[in-house]
Amino acid sequence: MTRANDFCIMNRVLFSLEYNKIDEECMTRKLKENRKVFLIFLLLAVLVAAFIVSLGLGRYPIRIKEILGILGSKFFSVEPFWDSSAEDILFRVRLPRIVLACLVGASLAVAGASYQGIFQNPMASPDILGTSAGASFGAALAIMFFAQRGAIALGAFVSGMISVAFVFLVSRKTKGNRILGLVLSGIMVSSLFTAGVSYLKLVADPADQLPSITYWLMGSLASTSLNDLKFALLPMLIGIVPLFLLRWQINALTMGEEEARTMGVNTKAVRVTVILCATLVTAASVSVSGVIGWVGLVIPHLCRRMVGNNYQYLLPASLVTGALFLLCVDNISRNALSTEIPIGILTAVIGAPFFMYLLTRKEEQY
Amino acid sequence: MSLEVMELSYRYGERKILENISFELQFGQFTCLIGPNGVGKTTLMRCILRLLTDYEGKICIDGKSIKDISAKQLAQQMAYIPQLHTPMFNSSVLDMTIMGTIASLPNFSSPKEKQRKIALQALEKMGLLHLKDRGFMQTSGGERQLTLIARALAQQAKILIMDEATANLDFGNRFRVLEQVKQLTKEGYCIFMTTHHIDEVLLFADKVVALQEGKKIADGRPREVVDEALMRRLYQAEVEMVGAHDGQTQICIPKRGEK
Repeated sequence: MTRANDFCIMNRVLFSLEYNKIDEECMTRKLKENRKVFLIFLLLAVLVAAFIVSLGLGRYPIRIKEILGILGSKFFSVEPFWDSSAEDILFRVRLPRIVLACLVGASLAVAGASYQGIFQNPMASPDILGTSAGASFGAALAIMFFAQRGAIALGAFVSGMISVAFVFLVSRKTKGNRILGLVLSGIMVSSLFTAGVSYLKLVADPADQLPSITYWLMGSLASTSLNDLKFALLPMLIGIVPLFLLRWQINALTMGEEEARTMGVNTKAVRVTVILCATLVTAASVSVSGVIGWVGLVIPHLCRRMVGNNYQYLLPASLVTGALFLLCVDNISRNALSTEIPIGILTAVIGAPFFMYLLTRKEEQY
Repeated sequence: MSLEVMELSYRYGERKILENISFELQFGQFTCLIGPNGVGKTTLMRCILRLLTDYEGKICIDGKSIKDISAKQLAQQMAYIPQLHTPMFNSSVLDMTIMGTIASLPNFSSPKEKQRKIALQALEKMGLLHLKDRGFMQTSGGERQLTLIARALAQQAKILIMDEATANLDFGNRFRVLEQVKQLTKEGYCIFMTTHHIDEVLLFADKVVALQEGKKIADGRPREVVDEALMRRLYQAEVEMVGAHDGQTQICIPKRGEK
């Protein structure tokens, strides 16, 4: 009898201890999650710093003090102590380009991370899924027939969508390893669209269409205007906001279609929404900057190493890191040599070896 | 409260996979589904989980057809515990468990403090609290299976459907997982598990349903239903039913070298 009583009391004490433990866990957990949040904010601070420094870089150097003064004068009344040409260069040339570099980098990285989640495939990215090649084809077609910014973007989007849908359907029919299936179908679809682009180049007018297609395919942020910004910003926002809202649904989908469904996730709707949004932001990027490879594959993987695979943190981290990465690369692109190096070339040169490095490292975050 | 399967038939093209199957799952009971490979166990389970809907007959929870319930509502009543697998992206045991709580969250929102607490309580119930920050793939097979159960508990569903949840576990882990599962039935959970291990059925189950070629051939308490004849019919195996020293537990062992 006493023994039973003792047991009861012990049980109760243990039980209450356990519950305090849970409260405690909640607190320590918060600290751990705060570490990830802190990391993301740290990256954001670095991005802001890099942003301001970038404004000063270029053929016509502008000092940090002047930059802050010029930017500040838009909000407060500041006695101008700078050249008016500095202000012109800053607002007309550098600011649009730098903002666009950030937007494109952020978009490509977020699109890549999202593709990886819903395809449950670490190799999914705008380049490998053929979205970029598809979008290039649509854009090249539009350059030839309409030469209008809106048409180029629409062409890039529609053609990008077609290529993703195609890759997805083909990869579902492949037998065996699903990662391999997706990559192989991506290569297949990419090469089809690349062949299409080659043909378009062949028949394009060599005087104006051909150079503009060629240059555009190499990817470049040169000659960015405020109009480009206005044009790209809206579709990027329309695409990125739903992706952020669906972060936990994407988490569930990484477990697989059926498991996600038994968790109450409407997998079809989520998958279609995510593909539409990710393709929209990719196409918006491609339409203003041309084809910029590797960002969508490398940055999400880098971020997985930093904050783990939970999309709650992975998407914001990818957004900020993607922006930071492309901003830095664009700085090299416009400042390293006296002539501009197309940014698509640089992202490949930097991105590919870096991906090798990530692949061969063992540590893992979760 | 119960889950009822009524005259369920399923055909795949011309082939009949399930034929006119009826049974009932009670809350507070551990029901096992047995039968040889390829007999339609998985199909039956997928029908119950509403992953397949083109069946004939009816599946009801408390008298309401599962086809009339929204996906979210269904997920709040019924959770799926899959066979052990390797997710593409590793996540922490806690993140894995929190995933279960999205069943009760509105679309477009993320788990908050309250959901984290639910997940931690589920982990605690499975005795995994100390592993919460460990990577899912860095835990043992038994711990991983228990994490998947914890995820189902975090879903706060009362019906748990387990697909050969003990298939890839070693001897010790298998029984630790089953003890936990048995504990859950005492708290009122309704548990339905497919298995190939007859000793699990005899030791733990309150009820067993046996399938043979798409038809139900037995349904009842394991000690009354599982015998030499059933084993012969189901698996073409000659077995001997042996009693343990306690005089209650029975186990079946295969006979060797006899036809």
